[in-house]
Amino acid sequence: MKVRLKYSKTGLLRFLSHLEVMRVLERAIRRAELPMAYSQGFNPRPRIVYGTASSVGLASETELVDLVLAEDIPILEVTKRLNAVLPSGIDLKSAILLPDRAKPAMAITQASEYRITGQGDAVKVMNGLETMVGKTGFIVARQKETRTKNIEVGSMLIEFFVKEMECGRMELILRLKDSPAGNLRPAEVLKALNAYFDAGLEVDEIIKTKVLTSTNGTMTPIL
Amino acid sequence: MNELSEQIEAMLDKVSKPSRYIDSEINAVHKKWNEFPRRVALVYPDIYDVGLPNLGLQILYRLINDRSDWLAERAYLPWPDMISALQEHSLPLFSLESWRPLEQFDVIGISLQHELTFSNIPTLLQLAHLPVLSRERNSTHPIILGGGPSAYNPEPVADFFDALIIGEAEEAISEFLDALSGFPVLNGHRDELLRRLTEIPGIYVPGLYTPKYDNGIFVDLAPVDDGIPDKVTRRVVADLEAWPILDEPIVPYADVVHDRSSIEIMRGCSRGCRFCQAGIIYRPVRERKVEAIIQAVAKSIGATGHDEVSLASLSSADYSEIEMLLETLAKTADPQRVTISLPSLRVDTLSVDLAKRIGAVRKSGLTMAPEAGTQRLRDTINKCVTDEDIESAVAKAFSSGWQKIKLYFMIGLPTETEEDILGIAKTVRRIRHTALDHAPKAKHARISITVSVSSFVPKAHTPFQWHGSNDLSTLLTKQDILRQELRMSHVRFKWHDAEQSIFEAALARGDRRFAKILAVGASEGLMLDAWSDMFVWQRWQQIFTDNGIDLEQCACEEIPTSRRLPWEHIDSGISREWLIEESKKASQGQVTADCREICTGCGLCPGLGVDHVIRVRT
Repeated sequence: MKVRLKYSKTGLLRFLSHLEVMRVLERAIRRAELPMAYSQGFNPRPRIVYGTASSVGLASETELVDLVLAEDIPILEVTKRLNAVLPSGIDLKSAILLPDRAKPAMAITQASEYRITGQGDAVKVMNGLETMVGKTGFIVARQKETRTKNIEVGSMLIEFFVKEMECGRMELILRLKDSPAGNLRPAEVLKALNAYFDAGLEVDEIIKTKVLTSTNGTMTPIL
Repeated sequence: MNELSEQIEAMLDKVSKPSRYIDSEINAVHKKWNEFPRRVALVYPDIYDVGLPNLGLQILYRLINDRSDWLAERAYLPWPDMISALQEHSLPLFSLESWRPLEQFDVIGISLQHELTFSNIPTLLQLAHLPVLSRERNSTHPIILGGGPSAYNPEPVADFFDALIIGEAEEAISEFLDALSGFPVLNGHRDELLRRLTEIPGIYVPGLYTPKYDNGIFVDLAPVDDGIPDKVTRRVVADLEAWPILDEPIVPYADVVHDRSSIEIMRGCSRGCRFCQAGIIYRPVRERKVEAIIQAVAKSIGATGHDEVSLASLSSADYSEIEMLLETLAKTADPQRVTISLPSLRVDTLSVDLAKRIGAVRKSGLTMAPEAGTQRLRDTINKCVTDEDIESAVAKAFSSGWQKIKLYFMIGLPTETEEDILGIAKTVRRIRHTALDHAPKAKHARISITVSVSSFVPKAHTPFQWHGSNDLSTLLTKQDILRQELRMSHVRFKWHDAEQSIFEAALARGDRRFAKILAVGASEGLMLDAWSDMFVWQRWQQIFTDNGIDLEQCACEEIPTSRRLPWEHIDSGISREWLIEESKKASQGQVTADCREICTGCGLCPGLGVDHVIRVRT
């Protein structure tokens, strides 16, 4: 039986790395005594398939993980048992049954949606986003251990919405490429807006809100 | 939470591995600050990754929190980037559970596990905005309490502490807290309180003893008056069963050194290896009941979700019913895919069943500690393992499917010659040969033998306490020889930094003069000496020399048995004469029996009114 779970990562637990979240889930699954299926071989591992990695410090309303269970149990039982043992900060939001042949979440994820609240020049932000979308040449450096990678912000910016609020405050919704082949982080878009368009953006909060796949040309939430 | 919260949270974005500073781990205890008038901060003087798994601290944490009048929280040394952030914002060291400044606690209890953590003590006191020396503190400051294995020679750090518990703390900590609770107003009564503490057996108040030196050599430590005992005798928990096994260990968010549940199956070791301090300070052997262990293991699996449970003790394979215990545990652990592991195996009685039982689910590495490379030297250190034992243990392990083995050896032992060093290589060569012979050909590529070689450090209260360690150049030469000799496929050679070992040895034999000097180093930012990329030998050497102490000489000195040692006021329960006798036997290559089989006359059991508690006698 295959199950896809959607969980949130909020509060102080947003500071967990992806590996640390994986361990929290794995131990919670054990405490919940879910009848997991295990991999074969020398070092059997419970069959848990994680979605795309979320960076340290990023709060998220949607993280995906797929479980393969050895026995059929009601979905409500899965969520009930898990929520009883998960630490607060990692909370199960919903769960669905998957067909056995379903592709794992990571394979079908193409983008993630983020909600950003902050202060700055909304006109410049709007202008900047319109200029960058789909174009190359807007580069932000990403530090990876010892190497630096150049990120093409424009080519991974898929969709955006800017909502102006009072006193220079605004809310941005950004849909950014997020797949094993490449990903764009919201902070990188904000950096590009400040560097190339002088947007003067100061961020209050960034939250990942949705994980998306492309269905007939449109981006839709996976769960 | 409180006024620090926002600022600390803002820092988490900027430091490495912020998960170290997050509270509310599974099985952590969060009591409401205002509901508990008396509070203890239990501190492990190293970073969270190292300190969290420490069982001793977790046991005390639970014990104190079980009380209705006290609250206990934890604190660890932050990593240097967090320390810088705290200093930049003038923020003090905070507790984990409530992010409160340590100076707001009534007691700060610091665990003394290892000499290389000693410089972290003045570091954390400075970070907590507290005066580092006991004599500089007054009744507005928390009581700084120490405990743990290195408290058996507390002298190098004694000046930092108001009081220390010597020995097992389960009973003593209650007596200590009761004594504090009995003082309604701490203000103005600090001296009276400290004096009152000396009446509790096992509690040492360094400030009430005065050291004497003659030409830079320690000669005596005497109480300030007749009201203070000459010696402080260690505490032993005679009836271990009366103290339930810790079965709900805290589950860290961060990746820590031992990411598994540790269940204590017994305390003490009767083997009497002559270099080993743990064997002395945890006597006698007290085995826990099989039923209690089984229940604790089951509870911990349910409470943590860990996939590995380690049966912890000094020598777990010596537990008298180990095979039956493992068989029974396997019945619940195996279906849940939980591995039961033993920290290390006794080389001489590894039965095929035991080898198969451990790691039936998944085979993590096996660990064995032959310690010396020749029979002669093994007899000298009283680690009576024969080459045949080693051979048959390795054969059984590798034919049972093991692929990884870790071997511990020590160089610089008393009476060691080059033959003994080469003996290490010979032993490893034989082990490698046996491993390749017994493992199926298909698995050969995966076979890995890790040889970890540390350097002998003379420890207080052991028969070898009068012997010096090898000097730096000798250790480096011996390591060079091994590096050459151990160059073979499937073998990985790991060695302990020789300078760290010398520093450790000097601290292990140190006296009262050291604390001030450690504080000087700490002010300079020297800390985390156990971490080889943080340890700066040249700086420490210079600072100590500037203060009249030659570290290498301290470490390497052969001390005459006629001289009084800086730790002799701490009574381990073992007679001095017995230690000297053991030292003599060592020089003659004579072995001493396992004292669970025949009493060897160390004096502990009759002296402290205790005895071995062993489930099944063979």
